[in-house]
Amino acid sequence: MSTYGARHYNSQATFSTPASTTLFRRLTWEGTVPLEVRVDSKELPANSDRGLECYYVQAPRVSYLPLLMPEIRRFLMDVVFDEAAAEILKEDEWWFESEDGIPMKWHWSIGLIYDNHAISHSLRSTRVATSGVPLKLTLHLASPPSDKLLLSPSVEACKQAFMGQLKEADFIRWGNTKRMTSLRKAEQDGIWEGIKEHNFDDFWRVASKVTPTTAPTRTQSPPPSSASVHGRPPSADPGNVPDRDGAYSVRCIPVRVYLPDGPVLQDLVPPMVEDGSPNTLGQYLATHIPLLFPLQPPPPPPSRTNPNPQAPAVQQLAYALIQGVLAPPEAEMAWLGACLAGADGWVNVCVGLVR
Amino acid sequence: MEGAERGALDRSLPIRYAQQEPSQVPEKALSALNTYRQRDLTKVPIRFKAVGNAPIMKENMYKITASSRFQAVIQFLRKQLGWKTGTPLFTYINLAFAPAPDDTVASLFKASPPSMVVEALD
Repeated sequence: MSTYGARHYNSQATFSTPASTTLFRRLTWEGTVPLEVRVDSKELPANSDRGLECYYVQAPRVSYLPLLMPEIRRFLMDVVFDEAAAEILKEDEWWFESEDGIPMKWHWSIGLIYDNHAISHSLRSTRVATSGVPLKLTLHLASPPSDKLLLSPSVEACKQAFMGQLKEADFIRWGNTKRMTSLRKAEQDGIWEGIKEHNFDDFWRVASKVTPTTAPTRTQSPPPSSASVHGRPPSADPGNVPDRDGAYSVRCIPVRVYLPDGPVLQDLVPPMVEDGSPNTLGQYLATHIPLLFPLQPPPPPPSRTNPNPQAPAVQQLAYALIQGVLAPPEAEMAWLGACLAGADGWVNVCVGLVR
Repeated sequence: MEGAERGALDRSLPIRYAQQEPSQVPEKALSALNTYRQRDLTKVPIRFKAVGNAPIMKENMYKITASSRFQAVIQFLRKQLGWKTGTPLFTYINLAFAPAPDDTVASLFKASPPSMVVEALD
């Protein structure tokens, strides 16, 4: 890939984004999910070429359904519909529905739609959930349920919602939206163009101005003591972003927790806990949804008969997916915010139940 | 395809759950889930403020159920202002950001203590 060379150069030139952070951001960016889009057979216009009304696509997780519409439309117009039908169909009435009959929101990223469907569907399905299966979407050509879709299917509405989410994330992090509002108009447009064109470098050129980064690795700037592994790069190093912009210095991390079939929970998630250690995913989930993530009790004190006691086993009820990946409980929330957030700045934690 | 292979690797982790024989979700997990599904019926104070040419409201302090979506707040506001459907009404929290319509009032209130101000701009 041609961009790899450029990225290597960038990561050396900018100390503010360590190579490991860039790597995880790229992995997040390159993540894709399989979609199967089928036109509702009851709504297929007369003279449609039946049997071909299904379109498969491996879609970027960070993209949005309205951005897929042009290629889906092109396919349908070229292969399925005849000219007469193509003329009467209004694209602004098209909408998607999952096989569970849930309308797909225009302003949710495709990766979130996929993961949220996976955790919700696993509750109902007697079939074993298998990884990597396409998400089956029914495309309806008329009568969108606008009360459930909440937005119009236009790319412009999607962009506005996306920019709103970026600003809300900025507000959660710092208590103000100065970083977002100080972006020039061209930069604000550029960040959306990066999503639209799926261009990692274009997107992060602007996004890095609003997204906090993790501290440079120790080899680049050894911390004065072992206590400051997280944050506080020495201020004498001119290449470093000041500590106050670091992932571990934010007020809170923008996080949403999705439970199967809803609801969506949102709480203030500070990067550090009271004892000064980093807040972890395990601690966060045990604090806010303890019934699903019960706290692991500590092992009993060692005795002569049992010198190495094990903590009593707790039945695991639920698991957490972030960007489709099973996230370990020791993952630090600040790190997740800097490396595994969606393009809109939010860390989406999809909670599934263990069968 | 490189992307497809990587995608398969990404999703390989949940397999330890997926490959088990089909079975039921434990009752304990389902009842835990239902606890978190209960609607939060506490009321959250919201102050509305007109910005730009939006009409000034006689009464601007309201209490709204915490579990309501922001969409409900927008609809409530439109009704109070007698705003016609189709006429744009822009709403912001603390003049900082426009929330997603499915954000809950509870979440927005937590994000912007001590009081939430919804600005309306016509």
